[in-house]
Amino acid sequence: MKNIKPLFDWAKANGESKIVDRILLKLLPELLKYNQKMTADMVENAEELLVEESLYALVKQTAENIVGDHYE
Amino acid sequence: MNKQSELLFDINHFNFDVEHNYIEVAGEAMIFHCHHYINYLQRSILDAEYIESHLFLIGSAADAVYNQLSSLCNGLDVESSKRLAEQMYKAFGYGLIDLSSMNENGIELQSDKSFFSKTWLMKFGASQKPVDYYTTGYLAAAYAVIYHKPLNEIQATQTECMACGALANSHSIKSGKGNFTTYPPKEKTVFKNIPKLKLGWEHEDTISNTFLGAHASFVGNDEGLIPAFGVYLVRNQSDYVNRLQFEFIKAMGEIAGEYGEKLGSELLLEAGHACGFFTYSGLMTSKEWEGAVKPYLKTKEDWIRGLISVINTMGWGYHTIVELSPDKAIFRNYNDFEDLSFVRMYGKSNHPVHWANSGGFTGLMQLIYNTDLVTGNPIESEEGFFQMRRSHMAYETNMSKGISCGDDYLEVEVYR
Repeated sequence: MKNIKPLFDWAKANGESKIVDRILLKLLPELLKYNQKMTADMVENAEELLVEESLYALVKQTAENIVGDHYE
Repeated sequence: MNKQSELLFDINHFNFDVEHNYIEVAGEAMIFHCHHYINYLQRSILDAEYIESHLFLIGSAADAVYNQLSSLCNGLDVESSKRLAEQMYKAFGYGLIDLSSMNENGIELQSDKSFFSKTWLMKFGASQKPVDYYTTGYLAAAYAVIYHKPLNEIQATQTECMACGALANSHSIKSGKGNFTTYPPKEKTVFKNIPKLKLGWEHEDTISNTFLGAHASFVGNDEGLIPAFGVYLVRNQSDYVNRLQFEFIKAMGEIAGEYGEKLGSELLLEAGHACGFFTYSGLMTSKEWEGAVKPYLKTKEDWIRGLISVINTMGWGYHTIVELSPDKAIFRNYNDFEDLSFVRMYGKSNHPVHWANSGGFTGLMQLIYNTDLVTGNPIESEEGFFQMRRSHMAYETNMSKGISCGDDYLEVEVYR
């Protein structure tokens, strides 16, 4: 499991407004497969959000595509 | 005047309904949107690649245009009908189309003047896929009306798009197995005729009367585009653009229930927010505002009242203010275009459907209280918009009442 909160924070700091919602919408079928129903509010209010590494990789790829930069 | 140049469509022939702040063209309610709104809405829909959205992106346009042209072309011959369809398309600000090669078999149309393709590129850069679904639907409807074809037996496709790097857009329209959704007939508009809470500002009527009728000056230029207030406007069939929202949320709900609807709703609100932010900013820094509105403004709240006095002449319903402070506002709209549209097409709703109105109000609050617009320093770039959103506490939006839910008016709370 991996904490996805810092990745979303990076996307928010570097991307467009509502980027978290946009990432979640793009990945909706994948989120459902992982039984995840996270929202932008949940991301905002959580100190830590643990997800499986394969889902983390999908979110990372989508976030990087939207922001147009790499997340280290 | 020869047949080519004869004016067959003139927006001035359609009256503005002052009582309901509403305008119809041949049975279709008409509303302005800006390129920020339309493109954000369409991109949000296309982001959901798991939805077969082309069915309603084309179908919504085809349905509304079919209704309109069926009425307007009634009694006209084929050539006059083609000219009328070209002129209406141009007048509404969608670009330019030449239907002279359309015949019984359909049309292979090229155009290098397209609102959708041009403004998608401006806002988002290059697209991987064609984006001018509206024109595909428009052409399908024109073909169906002019050559008496069933709308559900038309194949309509955009094959090339300037947003993807092509020199011109190409659309292929022909008879065959239908490839977009067609919809049942809708109800006529039913207004809620109740006493209105007026804006209660001494300058409201002076400003509204100054701008009354100004909507008719927003018609396509030589390129079929309507540049105004720093944005590109289009005059949409209200049911076209609103059906996009409604079908999108419906599809999201079918996939993931309330969770899917929630994700979709957030992005629809953001589309309205961007519209309110950029278009209202452009309006409030325009020459027209400087001359006809600004002399009446003393406070930030007056800027909001002034803006509402202007936009109440544009056909979006009657906007008013119930409560207003920097921390919280309650806005109301009597006969708002989204609820009227939903009721016409779908009947009752179990949740508010006025995302564009509500996002627009939120964008307005952001603009007045979180930027230096009123002191003469507007934010005009996308990046400036993003930076401002990151650096200020965002306003929250609560869509509390809606006509489609059984209420007498739209109401929205915007707070921080």
